[in-house]
Amino acid sequence: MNPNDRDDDLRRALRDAVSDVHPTPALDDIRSRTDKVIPMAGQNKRWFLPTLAVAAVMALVVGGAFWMNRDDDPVPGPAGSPTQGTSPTTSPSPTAEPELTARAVPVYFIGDAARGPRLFREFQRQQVCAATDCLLKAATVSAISGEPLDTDYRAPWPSGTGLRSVEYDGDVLTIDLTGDVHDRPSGMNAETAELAVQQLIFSAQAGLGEGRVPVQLLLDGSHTDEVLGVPASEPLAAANPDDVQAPVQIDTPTEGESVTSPVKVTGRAAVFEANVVWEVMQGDTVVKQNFETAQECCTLSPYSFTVDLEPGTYTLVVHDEDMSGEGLPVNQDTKEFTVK
Amino acid sequence: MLATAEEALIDADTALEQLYAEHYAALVRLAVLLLRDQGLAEDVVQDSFVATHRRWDRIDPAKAPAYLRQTVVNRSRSALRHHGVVARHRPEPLPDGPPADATLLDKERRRLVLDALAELPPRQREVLALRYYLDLSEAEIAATLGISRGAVKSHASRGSAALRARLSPQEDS
Repeated sequence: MNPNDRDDDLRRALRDAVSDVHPTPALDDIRSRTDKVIPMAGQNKRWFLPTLAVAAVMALVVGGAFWMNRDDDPVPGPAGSPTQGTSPTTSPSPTAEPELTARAVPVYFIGDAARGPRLFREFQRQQVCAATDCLLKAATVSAISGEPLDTDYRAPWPSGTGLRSVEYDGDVLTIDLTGDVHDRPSGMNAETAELAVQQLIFSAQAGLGEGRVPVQLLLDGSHTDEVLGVPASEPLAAANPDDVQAPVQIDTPTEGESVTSPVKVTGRAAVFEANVVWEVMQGDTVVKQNFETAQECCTLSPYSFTVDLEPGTYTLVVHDEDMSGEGLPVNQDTKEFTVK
Repeated sequence: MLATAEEALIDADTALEQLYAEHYAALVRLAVLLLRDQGLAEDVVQDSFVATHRRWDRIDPAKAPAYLRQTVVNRSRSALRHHGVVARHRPEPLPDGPPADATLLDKERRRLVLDALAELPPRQREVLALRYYLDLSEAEIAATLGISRGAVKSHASRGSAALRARLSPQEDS
């Protein structure tokens, strides 16, 4: 037996030894922890507070006890010594007192995909307090009363919908709504009503960061048989993302964002052979184009690429391919952005 | 009007998602080889992802997987110091039902390898896990552990010999 064969024995033995280890999915747990530590690049950066964020913050007051006690700059994140081996659970918590910091709030809205309306995720920069449940509140309020940054998307909930409270007891996420949302509004079809409920569920779950927990909807503090005409007496589950989310989504750049070149584009796609195709346009002119491979075929998975661009305003189009050759509509997402 | 920090934040979040998709499962298995305890291995790997995210603005994205791997190895070593989990007399949890014989044999075979690894000195165990599970080159192992390539070579050869000696009686049967 030559040394390589012997090495192969050890290689096989070690691989076999852990072949029955199936790690518990933990991305949401990790995310919920990273949400609390915001890397702040640079100092004394004055955060731009969009009107939308003001609206969302004001709406949060409806939710009860609130924290809007200052509007000054967020403090830079903890310096964080690069020492190895320090446990993040022992680092001092930055939440000693309520304090607003700029955070990327995940919110879903409805847009059009090839097979009809689907959910699209947006990260909205908002001033949010630092406590654990603040991101949950911000995401929930934005889902029912916020506006998408991307004008291709729409917010499905009737105006006047408000949040009384949102709480997670470690088991069920309870969202207490107020407003005229028992029946399906005239002018909203049943499919949109279902999607609106899913939009709220996905947004709240993303804000919570505890995974796909069941969601109990209440209306004015009480259990309700329906919300938007959708049965809601029992806790609801999130639908399969591949059924309700758009198959091609752009996370960054966000709509209207000002960025520097090279521009890093990130998003998620569930496309045939994992091929996503993109073009950067100026008017009708294609400035750059190429294709990328998402990490997995046919289920939503991350993709990313970078583009070198001169200063200017561009439209990014990311889409899948029409494999039928019949000119069917493709799934796409678009973002307008500016290169400084 | 959106500031650089937002780009940094979303970048870090997206990077985290991608690193997770590509490396989470393999790193947990690596940590199981080092720690022989899946719960602790998951904790160590999750802590390492959080730490990597926190220092994202100081990490070269191209080197993020290497940084993450190094963090997992270092934190596994500290976890061992604190918990002493490699200590040999940790009872293996029994399966719920009466397993098929083949399943029992599989479990037994895997346990023997993890036990044998646990008996090695930490450096040898780390070198073997990085070399045979992650298929890293000598140079990559040296960089991960912060030791010379010569040291990697000698740990690898001693570790391999010791592991083989511990495993061979069972493999022959």
